Amino acid sequence: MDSQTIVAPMTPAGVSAVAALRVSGPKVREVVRALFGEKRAAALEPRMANLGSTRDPQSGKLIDSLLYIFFEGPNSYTGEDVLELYPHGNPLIVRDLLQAIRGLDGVRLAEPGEFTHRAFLNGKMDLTQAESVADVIHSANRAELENAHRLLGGALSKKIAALASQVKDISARLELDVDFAEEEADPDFAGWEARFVAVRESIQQVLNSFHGKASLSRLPLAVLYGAPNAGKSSLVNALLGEDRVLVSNVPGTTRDFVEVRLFLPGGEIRLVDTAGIAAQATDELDALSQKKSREILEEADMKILVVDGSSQECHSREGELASRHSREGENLRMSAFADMTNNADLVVYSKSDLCASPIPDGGLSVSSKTGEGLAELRQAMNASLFKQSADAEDLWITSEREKACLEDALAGIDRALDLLRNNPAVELLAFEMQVVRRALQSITGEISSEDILQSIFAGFCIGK
Amino acid sequence: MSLIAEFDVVVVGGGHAGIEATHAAWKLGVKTAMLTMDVNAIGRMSCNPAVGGVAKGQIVRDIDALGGLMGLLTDKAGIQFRMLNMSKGPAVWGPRAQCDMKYYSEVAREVITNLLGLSVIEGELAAFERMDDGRLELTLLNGERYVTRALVITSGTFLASKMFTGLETSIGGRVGEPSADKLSECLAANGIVLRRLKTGTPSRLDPDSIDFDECDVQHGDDVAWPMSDRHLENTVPGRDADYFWGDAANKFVRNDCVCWITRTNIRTHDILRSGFKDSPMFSGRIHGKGPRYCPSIEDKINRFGDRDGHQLFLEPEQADIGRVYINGFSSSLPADIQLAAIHTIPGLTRARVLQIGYAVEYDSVDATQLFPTFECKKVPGLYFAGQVCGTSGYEEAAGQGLLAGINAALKIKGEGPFILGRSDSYLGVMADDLTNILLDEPYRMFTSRAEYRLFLRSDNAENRLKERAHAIGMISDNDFADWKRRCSLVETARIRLAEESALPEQANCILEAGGQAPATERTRWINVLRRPGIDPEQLFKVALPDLPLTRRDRWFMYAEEIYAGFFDRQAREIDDQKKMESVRLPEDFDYMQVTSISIESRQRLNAHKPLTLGQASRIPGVRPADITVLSHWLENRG
Repeated sequence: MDSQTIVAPMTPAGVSAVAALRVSGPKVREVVRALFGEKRAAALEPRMANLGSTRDPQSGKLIDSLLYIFFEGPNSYTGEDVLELYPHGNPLIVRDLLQAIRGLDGVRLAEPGEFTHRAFLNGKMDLTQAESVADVIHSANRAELENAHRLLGGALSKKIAALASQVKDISARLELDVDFAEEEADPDFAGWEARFVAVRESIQQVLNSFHGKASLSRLPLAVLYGAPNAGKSSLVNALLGEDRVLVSNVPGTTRDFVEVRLFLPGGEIRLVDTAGIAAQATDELDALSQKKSREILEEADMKILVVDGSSQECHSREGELASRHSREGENLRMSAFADMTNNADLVVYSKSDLCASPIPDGGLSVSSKTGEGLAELRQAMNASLFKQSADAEDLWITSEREKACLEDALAGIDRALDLLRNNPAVELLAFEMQVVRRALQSITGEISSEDILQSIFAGFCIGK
Repeated sequence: MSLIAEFDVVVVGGGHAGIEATHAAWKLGVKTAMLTMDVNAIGRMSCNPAVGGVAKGQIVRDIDALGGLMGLLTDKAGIQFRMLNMSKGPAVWGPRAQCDMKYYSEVAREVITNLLGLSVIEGELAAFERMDDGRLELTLLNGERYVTRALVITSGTFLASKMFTGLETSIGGRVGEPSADKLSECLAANGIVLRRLKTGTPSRLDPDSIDFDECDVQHGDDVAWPMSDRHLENTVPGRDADYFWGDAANKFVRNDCVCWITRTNIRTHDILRSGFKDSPMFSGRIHGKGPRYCPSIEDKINRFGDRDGHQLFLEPEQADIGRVYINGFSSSLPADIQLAAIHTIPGLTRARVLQIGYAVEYDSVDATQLFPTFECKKVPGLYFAGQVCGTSGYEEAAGQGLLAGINAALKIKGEGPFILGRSDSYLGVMADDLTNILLDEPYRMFTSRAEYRLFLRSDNAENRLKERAHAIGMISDNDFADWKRRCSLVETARIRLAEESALPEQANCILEAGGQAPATERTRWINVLRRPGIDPEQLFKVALPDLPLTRRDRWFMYAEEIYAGFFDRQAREIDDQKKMESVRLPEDFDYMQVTSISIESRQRLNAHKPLTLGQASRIPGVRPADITVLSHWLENRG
């Protein structure tokens, strides 16, 4: 770290209507002077949007005319003087602007996460908050985003602080026994196990809430499957609201599986339309695509069996299977299909516009043509694929570092429990409780070390 | 008046801090003087007639390993020795001794006044002034002037002190002794920030008026644990302890006196409550903050009113009892209330009070103005040590006096500072805490303040400190050679325990007594020693009957074994900390230039002027990230 001024684009590379750059550090006013001239710099007012045009310092050619805002430290994201620039979103303009700013003395390109690092250093946020900035940016679904916002608001710090204070109470009782030998304070360890176990459970509970940050490949996956010509592809198109998937009334039109992205209220999901699983592959290509269909089904977070509601067997899917079973005879592949059928998370009866008879309980009747049942289907998918965050207090941890700290705390409390049962020496119990306390405190950054900070801030993307 | 004399070090005060500071400076060979208001008050115990206890006893052991006097004085004047916390692990054992306080003071006075070449001056310091050559000119109340290169102020509770009993207030730092008001003014004029603190002391009783039959008796340990090892089992003359014990005198401690235990009751509490309206504490006439851990009896009743009684210890002030000190009954309520309350206590129904309990309010120095050498940041050459730095307790005071005296002398000799770390002694923990944390109550040492408690034990003080003490000259070559011999004996013993095996019948006798599963085959002794619950003394008797190990050696070996796994787990942390301590920070450094540290932290760093990166890391409010930044910054600066 040094006292240099740093600059980086805030928006991703590529063409857009408007791009954004951020500059932070002691030389921000000089950057304004260099880009927009002495008069503009002198008249600079914090938190006011200004329109200006800037020229390349070498060639004197116009770079762009753009909007800029100055934030005066400490009232800024980093706590230092900050300048935000909003040029047109042409990568050439962004590059030229960046070059012009970097070319100034004492200004350099920001390291990944450096703006947030400075915000942390300048006391604008604590460690869990700093870590959750990346979460807020990279959250892949609404529940994660809400979680990240709660983390950013300091909710985890509060939760851990409460846990640490529980541990502190136990420590205090142990220390009392050590340091006030003559104060009639000898503890009776009989009732202590329950207290230790309670702490252990609280730590385990937070630890269990760990799940890593979602990445694009880990978007929730819903898979549509069923017999050929059951209407799976039409259903996908209906859900997407556009003719994305090639549809025909010839069974087996979808040869390989087709993947689309779908936005549900909870966030983005992957929806896969598989090739119809028939009793017997019609050719080698069909056999291959059916194999792929089964593979993707294994990965699915939600398996949706699509049954042709207009066919005569629609009243009982067991009946459908049984009849096919008897018709086609014993077949290994078929029994595997039967297993999967039984494992369906939802059974959808398609083409409801063509079928008048009632459907079995638990099923959902849908018409891709009229749109009947589509809203219910979306709702059912959303409920199944996204963690429900009805409880605003519900919080989970996403950082590997926090997980490691909690594991240290858990190991400490386990050793303390072991001591309590086998060798209840008060100075050793106190030692382990100190370990637990420190592990918890290092989550909120009260006790920390250089390695921790470096690993945290290296995990950030540039310019955040 | 004309100049009387010049010194290298002048120590102001003859209490526990002053004694150690004076002796240490003298021992390191600089021209030293002690300035005291009353030569007869040297080594006086203002409060309880005991030295040591949990954490405090470890401090005395630290002082002894560093060549200080407190352990030797305590062993000489001790009349009852007890190792506190002996039912717990050796890491938290605290040696404690009841002392004959009159004899303690006599021995201390004799030792100090017999130090060859030392000057003892009776008088009161009124003012000091820094001269052009950096030395300090001292002016006494009687007009005498002295010049010194270093001044160590150990004024205890005597700066602008007031005593309170009920509605009565008097000026003074101890019954019958005056207050040092001029010095307090002089410190303030030099820009030193002072704070009011408060402490208290209980009544002293006439033993002839106490029915001891109605009290429980508390004896010393069957075999005393002395504070110092330096006068025991010595064979060669010329040791540091010889001026206490002579060459041929009986070198064993006295351990035959008893204490008594009694309790307050509901009636006692009711009477005390009736005096609350006249309490100088509750009525707000005392502004200073008192120690929460050593509350007055009225405080205890106020805060824990539901308890039906509080335990009291009756402690003799002298071997022939002299006066009796009521430990646990410190009070500043009106005298008649105190007396009436005392008369409700079993054994004390007809007690005669020889001196009534009182509270003392005094000026103390905010010790964050000091370096961990105890030198004042604002006034080079000026040191503070003891209760004036906001601590309570003889042991804490003595430890600071020792460190201040050593550092004052080393600075004059042009040698580097002597700073102990948190991982090598309680003195290190204390120096670090005092100079980093802004105290809001008197500071007392607790084992829980030490994060490396399992390592800071009374049995390994020598292992932790002796080498360093010898290197600067606090420990004589003879004593050090003795110590080295002891070390090699312990090492021999350790190797034998690791290599020699116990027969099953030998091991089982020890294991079964400790409630452990018996062995079926030969087992190395060291593995038997590590089993929880066994009695190491029993083991050593069987395993190494031929080695002349001291009791301390045996328990040291045991502690090293049972805590070994815990040391390993803390080793990296200690290493990291030592590394941080070894990075020195420039004293004249302006932290405001490190702009990537928060302004708040920069201000704190500027105010504290930490000596090392480690110290900087423990300044409250300075965050680990700031330290990272600072260390990078210093590296880049070259």
